[in-house]
Amino acid sequence: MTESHVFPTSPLRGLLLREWLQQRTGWLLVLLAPSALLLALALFGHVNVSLHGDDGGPAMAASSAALITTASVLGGMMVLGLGLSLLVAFLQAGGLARRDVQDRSIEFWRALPVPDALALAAPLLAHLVLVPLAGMVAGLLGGLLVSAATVAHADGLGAWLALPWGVLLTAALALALRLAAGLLLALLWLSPLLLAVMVASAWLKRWGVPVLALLLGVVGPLLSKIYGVTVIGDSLRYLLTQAIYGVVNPGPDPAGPLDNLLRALPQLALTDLGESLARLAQPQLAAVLLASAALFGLLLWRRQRTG
Amino acid sequence: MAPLNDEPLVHARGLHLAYGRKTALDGLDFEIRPGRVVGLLGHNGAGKTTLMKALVGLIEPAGTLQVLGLRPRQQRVALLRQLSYIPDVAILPRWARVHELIRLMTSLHPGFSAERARQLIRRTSVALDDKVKSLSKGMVAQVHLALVAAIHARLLVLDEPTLGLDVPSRKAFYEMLLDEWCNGARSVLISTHQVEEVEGLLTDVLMLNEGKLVLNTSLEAIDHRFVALAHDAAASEVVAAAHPLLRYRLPTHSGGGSAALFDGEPPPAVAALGQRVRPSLVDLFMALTRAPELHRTSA
Repeated sequence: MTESHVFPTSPLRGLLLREWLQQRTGWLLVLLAPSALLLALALFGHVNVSLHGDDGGPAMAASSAALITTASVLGGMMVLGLGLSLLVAFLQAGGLARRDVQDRSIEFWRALPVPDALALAAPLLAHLVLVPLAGMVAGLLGGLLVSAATVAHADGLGAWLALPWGVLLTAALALALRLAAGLLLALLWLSPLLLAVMVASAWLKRWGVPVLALLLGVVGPLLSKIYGVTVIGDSLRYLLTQAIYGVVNPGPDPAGPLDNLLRALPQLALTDLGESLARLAQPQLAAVLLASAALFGLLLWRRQRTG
Repeated sequence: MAPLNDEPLVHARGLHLAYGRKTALDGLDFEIRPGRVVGLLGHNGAGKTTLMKALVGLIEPAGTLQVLGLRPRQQRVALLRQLSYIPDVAILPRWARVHELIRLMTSLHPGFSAERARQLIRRTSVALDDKVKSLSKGMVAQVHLALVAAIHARLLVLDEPTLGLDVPSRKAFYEMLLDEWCNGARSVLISTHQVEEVEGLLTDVLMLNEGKLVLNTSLEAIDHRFVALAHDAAASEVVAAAHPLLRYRLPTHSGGGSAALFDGEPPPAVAALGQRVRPSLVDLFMALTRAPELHRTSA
């Protein structure tokens, strides 16, 4: 009996395994480096948690300072982990479209019984969704270590252990879920742009990204200035704005004691997510989906003619 | 529906494909039956790779084509579960280690046996921990063949598998192919223009010339159909007048001298002037692919 009979094959799992095997060094660096750096700073640097107001006002309770520090570090590092991983994925998107052609392994991959659409979608799923989510989780875990080191440095580990962890972790979970949903919504709005980068790279190779940048950054403004045609700039601004609103919507800054804010965070996140979802109900989304489908189809067509 | 027993694994009728004004496949009709080792022979540009790509569903020619009972282009994924394909020797991903390729194949191919692949790799000079980019071309070819031989498939399609390899690597490749794949039940279609290297492996020959199938026969039938006549130089004019397919010099180890290749029995008067010798595939290749007007398609 072959091993494949013992462990049923799964093309998606295999394709994700391929991404891990090929990219793991870079991914681990992106996922762990920020936490390692901040932890080193917390342990060996001179990070002080000020117990005084900016104006030298009355001393803040040590427990409040520890709570503010921990909440800020956790939230900040989750956002940092997700954002950094996503930035790296955006920078790599062009290369994803042509890497197998570049190293001539495309014929090996296309000789395997894997649908082309799945072979194209799996790296997008890994790079744009799974790794940023892993970055967020790594940020959360790293944030726990960094906040522990920072608070322990000022007030001892007891102060950190005494924090209201039920409230903190519930808020962290709510933030994580909101960020995860926000990531998906942002990717949805940005998908035409990302796929356009991949299509340009697939056809024009290393010139793909510069040509696209030239088109968006130079030709767009020129058309606007000379002929009053603003469609390129308007579309770009629209997509970026909607992507940001997918993650967080504009509104008044929440006010009040941090403890209360943390308790209210799940509800705030849910309300904000509702607003982001409501923004999907606009005709432009159909254009976004159509453009993305067309661009994905072009990538598929290209792949089927290069194997 | 999967083919049964002796039903052909490949069934092609009227295959035609053109790249712009250049005709790559020109009305090909052929079948490949189970348990055969078929050589697809032709010069560079004869249409071999185009035909291979059509067989594995990478391009779609006009005409009727069924491979393992499936339509390659429309049912490519299902076909590749039962058919193994090596398109070129140096195409394994360079970033991967050999054991990682085995893990990947286990996930991506339902008919792949990791244990079998490890066994086959151990018989080569390649270590499981070696990175593909650190291997020579010959080693990469052996790893690729080991991976493919570990797939439970009925048909193996090899497109110029030893191109660019040195002699020891080519020998090792073909030995592994014979030992590990050709078990009498599985079929191989191997394309090459290095005819002399594969002659000993083959049971059948498909010969392409400028997109046309100029020969489609078994090696056994070749011996019955084609006659090579070794003769003295003095008989050259009489032999030439009988319009042989090819006149050539015999290699020194075969005694040297002149020879002529005939399609069928030469006239008795001519036959009496020389000695009948076995025609080699190389001579036949030269004869049929140098004379495109001779479009013989079956034995």
